[in-house]
Amino acid sequence: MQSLFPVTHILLDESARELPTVRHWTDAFPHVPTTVLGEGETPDERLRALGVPPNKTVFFLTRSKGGLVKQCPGRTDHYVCCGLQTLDPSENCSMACSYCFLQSYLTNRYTVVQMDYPALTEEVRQVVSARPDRLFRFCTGELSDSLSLDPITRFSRHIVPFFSALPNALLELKTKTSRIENLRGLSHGGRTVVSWSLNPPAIIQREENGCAPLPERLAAARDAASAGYKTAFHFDPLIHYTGCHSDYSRVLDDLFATVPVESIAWISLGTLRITPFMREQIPRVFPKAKVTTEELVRGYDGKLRYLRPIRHGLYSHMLSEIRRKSKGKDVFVYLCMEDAATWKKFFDPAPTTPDELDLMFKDALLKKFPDLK
Amino acid sequence: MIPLVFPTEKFRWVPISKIDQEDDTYAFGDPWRQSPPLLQSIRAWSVLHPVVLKPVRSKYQIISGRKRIRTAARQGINIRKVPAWLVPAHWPVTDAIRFWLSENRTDRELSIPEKSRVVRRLLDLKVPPSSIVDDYFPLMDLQPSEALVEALAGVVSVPAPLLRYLAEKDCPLRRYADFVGLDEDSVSFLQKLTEGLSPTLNDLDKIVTELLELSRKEDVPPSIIAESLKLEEGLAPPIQDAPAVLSSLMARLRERRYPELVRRLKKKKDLSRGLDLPSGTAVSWDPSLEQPGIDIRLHIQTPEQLKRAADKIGSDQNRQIIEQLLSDE
Repeated sequence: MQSLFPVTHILLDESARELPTVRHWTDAFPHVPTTVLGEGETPDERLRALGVPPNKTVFFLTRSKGGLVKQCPGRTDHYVCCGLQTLDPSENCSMACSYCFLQSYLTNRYTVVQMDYPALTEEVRQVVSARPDRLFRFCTGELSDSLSLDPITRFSRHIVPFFSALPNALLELKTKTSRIENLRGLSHGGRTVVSWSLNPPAIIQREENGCAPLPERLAAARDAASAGYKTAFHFDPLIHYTGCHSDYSRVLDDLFATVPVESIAWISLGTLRITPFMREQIPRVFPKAKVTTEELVRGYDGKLRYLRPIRHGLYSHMLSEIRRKSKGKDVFVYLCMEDAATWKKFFDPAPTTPDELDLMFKDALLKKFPDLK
Repeated sequence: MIPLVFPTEKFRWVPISKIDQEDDTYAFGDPWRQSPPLLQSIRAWSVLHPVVLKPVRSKYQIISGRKRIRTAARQGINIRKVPAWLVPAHWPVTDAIRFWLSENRTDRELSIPEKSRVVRRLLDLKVPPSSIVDDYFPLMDLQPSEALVEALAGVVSVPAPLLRYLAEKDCPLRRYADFVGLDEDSVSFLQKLTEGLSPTLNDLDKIVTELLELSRKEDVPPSIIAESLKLEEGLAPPIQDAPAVLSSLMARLRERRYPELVRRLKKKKDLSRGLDLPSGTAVSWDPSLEQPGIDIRLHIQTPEQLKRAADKIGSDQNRQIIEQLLSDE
């Protein structure tokens, strides 16, 4: 079983002090030093004064100042993006995947947690009400794992029922944990998708430090499906190495043997991509990691990726295996951060713009899950 | 920053035999830094500028003046005593380090390895990073950033022969970390490489990075990779054509590190040789293979030229080759 995340220091924003959600933390960690920050005082300044090194075991509990709903940061002009919206109740992750983009994306070294849950949901409400024709997908797992902090934050208990009442939006809780306890018994209205990132056990052990092993993730997915949640799976990043094709086939075997296909809303595929900074950083921070040792070339967005033929080999294998192992049952598959040429090679019809993909997504979901209409 | 008060009370002529030259408490200077004028001056005039010593048990620790004492103690120089300011035995090491910094930064800029040794010693003495930044960084002309403390502390993990090369090449701080993790044999190979070929910092960095990446990928020490690629071949002096040796060595490394990319680029190059194109036509492709397809570029001035070029480019032979080039994407 995964252990709960370590907390060495709590910084409490004065403006969040009175919020009831703060008690989740103070009750759970009564012996952890807690410092209240005055108005205008920054966590970095205070940590420096306290002589506490800023790292992700330091939690800054604060109140949203807005702007927590965003377009997925992966969206660029060069790639066909799925149009996901992100909602970030926390920033930074208690786990430590060697390939994680947060290493080069976040400027704070500590973990930020938003305490004002109604303010977050209000932001979502404003976005979805402006476009009633769209089927929005919101994911809380972009700048953090959606469920790793949930045993303490209990954010899922607030956000899942909220989404159940929205007519044109889905919530995606993306995780590499098995922490679904809080999801049980919630009124989700079929509008929450619990998703897991999957990789072969050898990759999980070497590259996904602190994350749940594959069998635990799949068991949690099965339980979520039993509770009526839609599920989704991300083979992202697909990692290339000698023997990877057969290893990924085995993961798919396990997936389809454990989780009912009927619950699967989508499967995404995306091969490894890292920034040049991460390529330098990963061997230093994760000496056992091997993700930087494969052949990587610079893509249109400046990130390093596998050679196009290697990427295509992985996609081709995964797509044929998913089709074969799902026994022809309808599973929507999409590519993450790939260009139109790659889409065209594997999909017919293939989207050429993010809007087209967004529409394809909507059609596929409404077809498979008429309850979403 | 707390003001530093120099606590010396006594001036003495101290016998060199009473000075513990092996003690490295304040040995922050680069050992490779030579100063021929110092030798000449000491030979002619003896040691004129007093050193700073601290009594520890029955001997003296050197705080400042290590090079002068080493030079004076050399064989053939008949000096028995050096002038010295003595500081009290209770003077804190941390203050003495600040003194060392003040003393040494007056006539030169400290090298990154020197700054690194200071930071490492301070961390060993449990000085908090914030105090290192506040009290010591100004004396080392460093920006006030705690991230630099960590980065500097890592520099001295670079093996000594490379450390000297990097310092002499003015290697930026962030790149020192690329040279950590090499085994003894690899360092010996790299030492031969730097002495024989004098590669640029970028080239050396590339070689080391690829060696380390291959080593991690194949789970063997980097020296085994170097050996299997016969990288030492051609490094025996005298080297006639250093740039050619370096470029062949890097090509071998690149072929092992990027086998698929090298294979595909070579295939493209070989295939494109068979194209029969109008004169002045340039053929190229994205060297990362990220952009599919090939570029065939030709400057056309008249409709007749266009027709002739189109006929020639579209010949059966060219079509076949172009199809092969595209099918390899």
